[in-house]
Amino acid sequence: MDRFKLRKAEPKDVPDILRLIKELAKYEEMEDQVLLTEKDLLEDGFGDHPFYHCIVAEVPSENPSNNGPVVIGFAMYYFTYDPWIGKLLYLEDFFVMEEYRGFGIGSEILKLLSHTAVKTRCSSMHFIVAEGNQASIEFYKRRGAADLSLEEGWRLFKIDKSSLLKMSSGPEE
Amino acid sequence: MSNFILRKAEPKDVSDILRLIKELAKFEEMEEQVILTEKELLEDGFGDHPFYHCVVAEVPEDHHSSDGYTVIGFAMYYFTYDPWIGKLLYLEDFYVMKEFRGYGIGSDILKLLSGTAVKTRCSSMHFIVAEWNKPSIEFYKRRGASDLSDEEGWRLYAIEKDDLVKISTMKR
Repeated sequence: MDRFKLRKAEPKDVPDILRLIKELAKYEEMEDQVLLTEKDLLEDGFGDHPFYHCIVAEVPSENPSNNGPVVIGFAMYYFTYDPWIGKLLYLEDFFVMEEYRGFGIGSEILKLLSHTAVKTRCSSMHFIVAEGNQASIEFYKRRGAADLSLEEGWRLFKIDKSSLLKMSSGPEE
Repeated sequence: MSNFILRKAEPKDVSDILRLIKELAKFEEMEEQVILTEKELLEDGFGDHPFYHCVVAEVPEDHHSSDGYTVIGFAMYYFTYDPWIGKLLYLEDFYVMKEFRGYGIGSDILKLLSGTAVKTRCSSMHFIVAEWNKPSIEFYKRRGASDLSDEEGWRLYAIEKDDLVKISTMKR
């Protein structure tokens, strides 16, 4: 199975991107947490100021009545900024449908992302991995990834919308 | 000392921003790791496509710092994207010079950023904190922050430039 192609996502890919986001969320048993809509994805990714970028992997369709290729994998990324070294490429989501794994598609996606990072003069690629996800951790470690949470003690925090609202409308201190 | 203003950073603030980045790095004993230059900060923050945004805290000239500066705090942030909920505001750096702490400047900066996040329809503000940095962890927890590394087990990983080059030129 070597007939796959990687390309930049286009507005027409938005339904497939959402489908794959939900498939990955389902795999993490969090499918009902996906509140994003195709409209959000379209505005946020293909407007004047894209908030994310996507690469999709497609294969020729096996269905004889369908001539077009089928999107079977994707990676979502964006650029972040490290105040010590500058631009970074941040890998947000990365998924290949189960039946298409083991053919090197994931490796090729990561290779393309690495090339994008180097070409856009990023110093590093960052991403988070769930500590229970041994398969992914090994995949990344084989390619030189280092666990910054372990090495540098970083912990990811969030302040949710309700707390943001409370803070932004709160009294002066 | 309530005499300070918060404003969006302008190109002229780039040398102050770099100075404060280095001060914060020095506090973390990592000052020599700051290899970013004023030129890069200018191009990356004030070009056609800004890769970061900055808010600065400024005091009047007659209240300047002991070493003569009027820009005495800053926050650097940018927008990220969660595939489940969309836009997030990511707080990257946040620092107030030591002699200006305790006057609510940090709180006001965070309040301004919260307003920005809500206004730009972000679902959440994310940031990382070093696990040993108790005062910062308390500061954020008092304002409703939760530790996603704890709750959801996320760990931050990096693939550095030399490995990126290796990967991108690897044969299949």
